[in-house]
Amino acid sequence: MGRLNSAAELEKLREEILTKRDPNKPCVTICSGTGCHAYGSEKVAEAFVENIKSNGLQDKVDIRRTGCHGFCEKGTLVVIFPEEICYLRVRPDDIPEIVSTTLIEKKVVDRLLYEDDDGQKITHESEIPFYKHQSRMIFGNNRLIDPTNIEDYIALGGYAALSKALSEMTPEGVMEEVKEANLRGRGGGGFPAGVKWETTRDAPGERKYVIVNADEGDPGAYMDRSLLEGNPHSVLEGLIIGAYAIGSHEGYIYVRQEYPLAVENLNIALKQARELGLLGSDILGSGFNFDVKIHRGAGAFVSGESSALMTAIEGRVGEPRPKYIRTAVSGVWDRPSNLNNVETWANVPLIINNGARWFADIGTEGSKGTKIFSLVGKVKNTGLVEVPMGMTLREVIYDIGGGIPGGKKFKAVQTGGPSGGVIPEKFLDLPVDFDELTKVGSMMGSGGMIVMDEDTCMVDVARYFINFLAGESCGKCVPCREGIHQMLKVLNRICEGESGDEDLELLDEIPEVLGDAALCALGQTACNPVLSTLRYFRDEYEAHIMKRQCPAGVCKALINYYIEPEKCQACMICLRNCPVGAIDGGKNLIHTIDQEKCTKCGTCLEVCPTRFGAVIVLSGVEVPEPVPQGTEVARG
Amino acid sequence: MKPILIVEDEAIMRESLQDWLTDGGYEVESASQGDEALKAIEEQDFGLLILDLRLPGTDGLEVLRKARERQPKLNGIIITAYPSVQTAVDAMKEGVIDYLPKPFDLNELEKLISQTLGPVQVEIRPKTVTCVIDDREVEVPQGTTILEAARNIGIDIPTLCHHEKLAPYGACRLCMVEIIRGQRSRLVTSCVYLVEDGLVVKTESEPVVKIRKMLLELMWARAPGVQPLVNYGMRYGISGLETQGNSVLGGASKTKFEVEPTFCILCGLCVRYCAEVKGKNAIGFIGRGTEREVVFFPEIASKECANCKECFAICPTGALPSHYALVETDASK
Ligand SMILES: Cc1cc2nc3c(=O)[nH]c(=O)nc-3n(C[C@H](O)[C@H](O)[C@H](O)COP(=O)(O)O)c2cc1C
Ligand code: SF4
Ligand code: SF4
Ligand code: SF4
Ligand code: FES
Ligand code: FES
Repeated sequence: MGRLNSAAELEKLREEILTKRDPNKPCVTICSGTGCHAYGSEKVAEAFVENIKSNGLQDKVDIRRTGCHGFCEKGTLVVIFPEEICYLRVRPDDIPEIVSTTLIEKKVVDRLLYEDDDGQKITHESEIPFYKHQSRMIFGNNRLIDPTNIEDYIALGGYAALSKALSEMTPEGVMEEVKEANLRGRGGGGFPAGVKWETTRDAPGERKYVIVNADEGDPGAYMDRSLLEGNPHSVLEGLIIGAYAIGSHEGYIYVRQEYPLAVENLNIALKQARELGLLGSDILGSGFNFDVKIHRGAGAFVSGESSALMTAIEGRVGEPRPKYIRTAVSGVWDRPSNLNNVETWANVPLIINNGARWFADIGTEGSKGTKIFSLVGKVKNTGLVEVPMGMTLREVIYDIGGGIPGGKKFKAVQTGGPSGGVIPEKFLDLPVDFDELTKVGSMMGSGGMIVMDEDTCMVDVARYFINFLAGESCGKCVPCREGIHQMLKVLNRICEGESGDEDLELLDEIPEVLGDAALCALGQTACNPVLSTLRYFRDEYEAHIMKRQCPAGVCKALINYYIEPEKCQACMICLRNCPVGAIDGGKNLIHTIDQEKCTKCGTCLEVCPTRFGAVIVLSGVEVPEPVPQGTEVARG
Repeated sequence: MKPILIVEDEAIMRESLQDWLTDGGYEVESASQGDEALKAIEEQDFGLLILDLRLPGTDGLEVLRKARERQPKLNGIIITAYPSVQTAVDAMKEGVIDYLPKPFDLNELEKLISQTLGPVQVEIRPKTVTCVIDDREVEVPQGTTILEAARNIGIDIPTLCHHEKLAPYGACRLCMVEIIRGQRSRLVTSCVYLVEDGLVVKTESEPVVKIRKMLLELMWARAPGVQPLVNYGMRYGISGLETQGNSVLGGASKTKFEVEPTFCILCGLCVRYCAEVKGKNAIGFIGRGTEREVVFFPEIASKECANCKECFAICPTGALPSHYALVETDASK
C-alpha cells in the first residue's frame, strides 16, 4: 500500500479492498478485548487457527481477532459470519466441535448459544436481548474490525469523513457541522464540543493542540479503553478532523499507563495511517499537516482532570493548576489546547459522514446521539452498552440488563462515577441524558452505571466512593485533602456505630466548603455521593446515627446474625461451616449463635438452606436470649 | 512570529535573557543543554536560536548544525565567555548571524533579533484596570492579582501558601474572596485571580468567612498551635482555640476535628522555594491525598542544604528542622 494523495485514491483503495473480500466467505471473529483475553481468548484463537488448518480450511475461512463486543462477562465471544452465529463462553476445548459442526456441516452448536430466561436458544448476536435494545453507532464496529489492520476500518467506510472534510469542507464548515449536531463531551461535564473547538480556534497563538483524554480513571469504567483497543482509527479520524477544524497541527493522546494494549494498537494505527498519508504532512494531498504523539499517563484518577493532564504532558507532575483561564485558551505550554474524551472524538466522523441533522435526530432535546455505559452491579447482564440518549433507566436496567438477579428488589442506580450520585426507584422512568441526570442530583460523567439492590446500604455506598476519592485526591489543596479525610472519618463513625449528632451537622457543613473551596473539580464534586444518598436516603443515615441500625443489614458493627429457634431444623450445616466455632448445637438440637464469638462473616446466613431460612440479620434491636442449650427441635 | 530558543547552561544568564526578551514581546523558550534544545527543536519550529558556545555535552555550534538538519534556514546567534578568533571563524563558517562575546549589551542583542525576526507587533505598554475591593476603588496594572491589589491599599487577606518570589500555587485556599460581576457572585482564590475592570471584590463576606473558618479548623487538626494558625484562628474564631485578649488560654474547648498532627500543612512553600528560587530541588512531595508529605531528597539535600536553610525560615509551621534532622542523622551513619 502506498501513500494516498487524494480523496479519489482513498476511494479506489476502498474498492480494491472490497473486491478482494468475498462477503459470503465464512469468517470466525474472536473477541480479543481485555475481558475475553482474561478468559483465554488467545488460546481460543490459536485453537481455531490449528483446527482450521488441520481440516484444510485455511483458504476457505478467515479468522479475525477483534476488540471488545461489550458482553465481556460471557467471554470468550465468538461470532461466525456471514450467518452471525454468536457463541458465548467459548473455551479452547469447544473449537474442534465448532469447526466440524458449524464450519463444515453448517450447523449450530446449541450448547454454546445464548439462552434466555425461558430457556429459548438464540443464534444471532443481534437478537440477544442484551444487544437487541442497544444502538451501537460508535461501538458496533468493534466486532467487525481487526484493530491492527487499517484495511478493515477502511472497508467499513473509514476515513471517508476525513476525506470529505478535507476535500469538500472548510474548517469553519466542519466546526459549524459539529456545533449544529450539538455534540456534547462524553468525558464528564457534557460541554458542547463545537463551542470548545471554536474557543481554541479563535484563541490567539499559532500553535494549538488537540488532545484525546484516555485517562479513564473511574473505577469500573472501560468504554474508552475498549474503543481505543478495538477501533483506534475511529478516534484518530475524529481527532484529525477536529484538528483541521481548529487549525491545529499537533495532537496528543493521553493514555492511562494501565492500558498497554490500547497503546500498542494505537501505535500500530498511527503507523498505518502515516504510511497511507492519512496522518503526517499533506494529508490526502490536501496540504493539511497534522501529527500525533502518545503520552502515557501515570494512572491517577486526578490526572484526567484537564489542567492536571496538560501539566503532565508538559513533563511535570500531573497536578491541577490554579488558573482562571480555560485550557482551551491557555493549556499545554500556555497554548490553546482543545481536550476531548475518547468517545467524543469517535462521534466526529459519524457527524461528518451523516450530517448534523441526522445526528441531532438521535437523542433528546439537549443531548444528541448515543452514549456508551458501563453497566455493572446487581443486574443479570453486565457489560458495555450503547444506547440513544433519552432511553429510560428502566429500559437500560431491565430490557438490556435483564433486571435484578436472585429475585431481589431494585433499590437505586449510581451514575457518573465517583463524583456522580444515586438515583432511587421513583426515577426509574427518567430518560437518561445530561440534563435529566443532573436534575435528580447525579450526572452523566463518563458513563458508569452501577445497579444496586435492596441489600445495599446507602451509607456504605457513600463511604465506598469517599474512600476511593480519599486515595485519589492529589493532596495539593487543603479542603480536598483534609475535607475528604474528615468526611471519611464521619462515614466510618456512622457505619461503625460510633457517630453522634455533630456528625449529621458535619455531613452538611463539609460538602458546602469543599464544593466552594477545592482547587479542582475532583474536590469540588467529591461530596456528591454523600449529598445524593442523603437526599434520597436520609432515613438510612438517621437510622444508623440515632438507632444504631443498618436497615440493609450491611454495616457489620450494627448487625447481628441470629438463628430463629422455630425455624432451625438442626441440619448442622451452619455449625460445620462457621469459621470461628461460634455456633452451638448438635443433632436434633436447636442451634444458637454465641454473639461474643461471632465475627459476623455471614457464612451461616449463606449456608443455611433457603427452605429453612433460619438465619436472619438483626439490626437496631436487641438480640433475643438464646434458647437454653440442649433444646430439641420440635418436629411436627 | 516564530519563537526564540535560548540554549544556555548558566541558569541566571538563561533566565534573565528569557525575561528580558519576553518582556520585549517575544515568545521565548529555553534549554539548558544541547540535547534538551534538540528535543525542543524536534517539537516545534523556531525563528532564532541564541546559543552559548560552551555547553555540557553537545556544544552550541553542533546544536545549530543539527537543528539545521531539521530546519535548514534557522538563524543562530552565538554568545560566549571565551571568545577566540578560531571559534569566531568557525561560527561564521557555520553561518551564524553574529558572534557576541559576554558580557554583551542587551540592547545590541535585541537590535540583532529584530533585524532577524522583524519588529515585535504586540503592544507592550502596560494597561491599568480598576476594581472595587471592600467598597474602595483601586487602580492597578493589568496582570495584578486581587491579593496584590488588596495589599496595595492595606487590606489584609489571609494567606498561607503565597510568597512574592514564587508562582501562585492555590493550595491553602485561605485567600478566597467573593467576586461579583453583574448579578453573579463567585468565590475565587485571590492569589491567582487577576483583577479585571469593573470587578467588585468582597474579602470578608459571609461565605468567605465560613470557608476560612473551616479551612483553619482542618489545618489546626494537622498543626495545632502553630503561630499563623493561632493568629488567623483568633481572627476567625475557630473551635478549640479559646482566647482572652491576645493570649491563648490553655485547656481549650473541643476542636472541630480530631487532632492528628503532622505539623506540615503542605503549603509547598519549601518545595517551591527550593525549586523556583534556588533551582536545587532538594526537597519535594511524595504520596497522594493524606499520604502526601514533604521529604528532603538525601542525595541532594546532604550537599545543598547545610549552607542554605532558606526554606526553614519561610515554613509557616516550623516543621523543616525536624525533617532535615533525618538527613543529617542518615549522613552521619
Ligand atoms: C478528577 C477528574 C478526572 C477526570 N477524568 C477524566 C477521564 O478519565 N477521561 C475524560 O475524558 N475526562 C475526565 N475528566 C474530565 C476532563 O477534565 C475534561 O472535562 C474532559 O476530558 C473534556 O472532554 P469532553 O468535553 O469531550 O468530555 C476528569 C475530570 C476530573 C475533575
Ligand atoms: S481538589 Fe483535590 S485533587 Fe484537586 S487539586 Fe485539590 S487536592 Fe488535588
Ligand atoms: S456470622 Fe460467621 S462467625 Fe458469626 S455465627 Fe455466622 S458463620 Fe459464625
Ligand atoms: S514543611 Fe513547612 S513550608 Fe514545607 S510544605 Fe510543610 S508547612 Fe509548608
Ligand atoms: S472483551 Fe470480549 S466482549 Fe468485552
Ligand atoms: S494563598 Fe491563595 S491559595 Fe494559598
